[in-house]
Amino acid sequence: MSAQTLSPHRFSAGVLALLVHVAFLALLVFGISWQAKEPPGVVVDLWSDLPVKAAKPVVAPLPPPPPEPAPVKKMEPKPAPPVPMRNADIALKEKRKQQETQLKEEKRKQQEATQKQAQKTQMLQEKLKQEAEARQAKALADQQQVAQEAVARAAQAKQAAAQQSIVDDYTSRIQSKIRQKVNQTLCGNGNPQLEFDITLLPTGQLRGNPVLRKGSGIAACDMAVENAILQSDPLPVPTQPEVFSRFRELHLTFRPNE
Amino acid sequence: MKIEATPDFSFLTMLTNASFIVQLVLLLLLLASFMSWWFIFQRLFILRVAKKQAEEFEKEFWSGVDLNQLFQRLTSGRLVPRGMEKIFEAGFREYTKLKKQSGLDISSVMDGTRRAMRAAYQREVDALERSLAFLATVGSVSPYIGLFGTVWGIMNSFRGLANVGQATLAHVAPGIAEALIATAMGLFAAIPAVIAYNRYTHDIDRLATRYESFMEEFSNILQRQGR
Repeated sequence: MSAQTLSPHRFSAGVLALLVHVAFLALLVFGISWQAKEPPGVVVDLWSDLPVKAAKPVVAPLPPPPPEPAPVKKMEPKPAPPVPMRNADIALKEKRKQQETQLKEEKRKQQEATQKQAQKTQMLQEKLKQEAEARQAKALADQQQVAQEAVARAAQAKQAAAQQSIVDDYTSRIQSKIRQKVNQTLCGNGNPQLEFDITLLPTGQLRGNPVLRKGSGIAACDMAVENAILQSDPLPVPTQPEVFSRFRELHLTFRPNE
Repeated sequence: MKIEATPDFSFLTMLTNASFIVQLVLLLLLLASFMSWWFIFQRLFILRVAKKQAEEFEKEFWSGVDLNQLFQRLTSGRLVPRGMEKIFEAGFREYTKLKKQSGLDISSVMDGTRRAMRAAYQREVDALERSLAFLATVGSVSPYIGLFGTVWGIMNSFRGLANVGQATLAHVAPGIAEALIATAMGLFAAIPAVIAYNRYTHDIDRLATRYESFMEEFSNILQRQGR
């Protein structure tokens, strides 16, 4: 039996089994394209009408010109110190020689100093120039942004105004439709006021029953108005979804005798 | 609007995000699958060899070779006789032994020979059937283990969902996908095991009938010789 336990095929079988599993895992990891990234969302602007051309962006005054680079101080070459006159003849020549070399040395030093100064000033100027350019670019960008914002705001305002007009239109339509159906005789002679809350479906149909928020004190009148609302069931509602969203829940105030 | 639940679920992140129980289930199933595939390949080779051996031996046996010579070759060979050879060897050895003892009639000699062959036959079939029980177990149990992992994962994902105010599909989907891997794994382990189990039991049955018919024929030959 021990020959059976140590089957001659156990290694090859093990390797094959391993291969099968590697293949399976590879299939799982690479084969199935798991949704790795969200599809990019699409933003859609709904315009009720074309936006008016953006108002000309107000050109902001250019930023003040960059300050003039600081005046470069020029180092005046100092005159060589006066050579003290001496009457000594001895070693005059030598002295003169010495003086000459000294003079040369000083001249050289002065030259170097002026050169350095010039370099420095040049660098300073360049830096200033760059800064000024950066400032200008930023100012320009700001200006553009402001202009864009202004355009957006204008468009929004325009849209809001359009929406408002639609809303007003439909509110009056709803009011009149309901008013037609109110049995005014039930509301007496006074000036009762009622408040109802209704919820609408996008088709204009009522969702649920109207809820009486504030009664007139006359049960019959309340009933009459409620009936009127129910009878005028498909109420006129705007078709634009963004405008309709303001009609989903309505608070109606009635004065039936007015 | 932004959805918080990360929609990026690659297979590996799913594995690492899964709960401990689910991970345990997956590991168990992977192990079971590996073992069952190992046995599948092992049995495949062993059965193939056994079939080939049986065919070759039958051919040799029926070619009219001298039985003594055949027995000599089998016992002196390097290889341990297997399968049909083993049955032949056991039967012939018992037969010659009993034959040497005087005072036994042919029917009792044949009885002893048959018993010896039956014992060898049972041992051989048992050797062939090794680890088939494991395949049967994996085939029947691993779908349940996978299902358990899935149920657990979905339970967890729903519990996590309860903490989120507004449930969207993006909240539920990764958890469920994660949990369903366990079922997939269970099925992956079970299906080959069941197929292999059915096929191998069938193959072994056929081999066993072959051995049995050989036993009957061989005892007939021995009985004829013994007279």
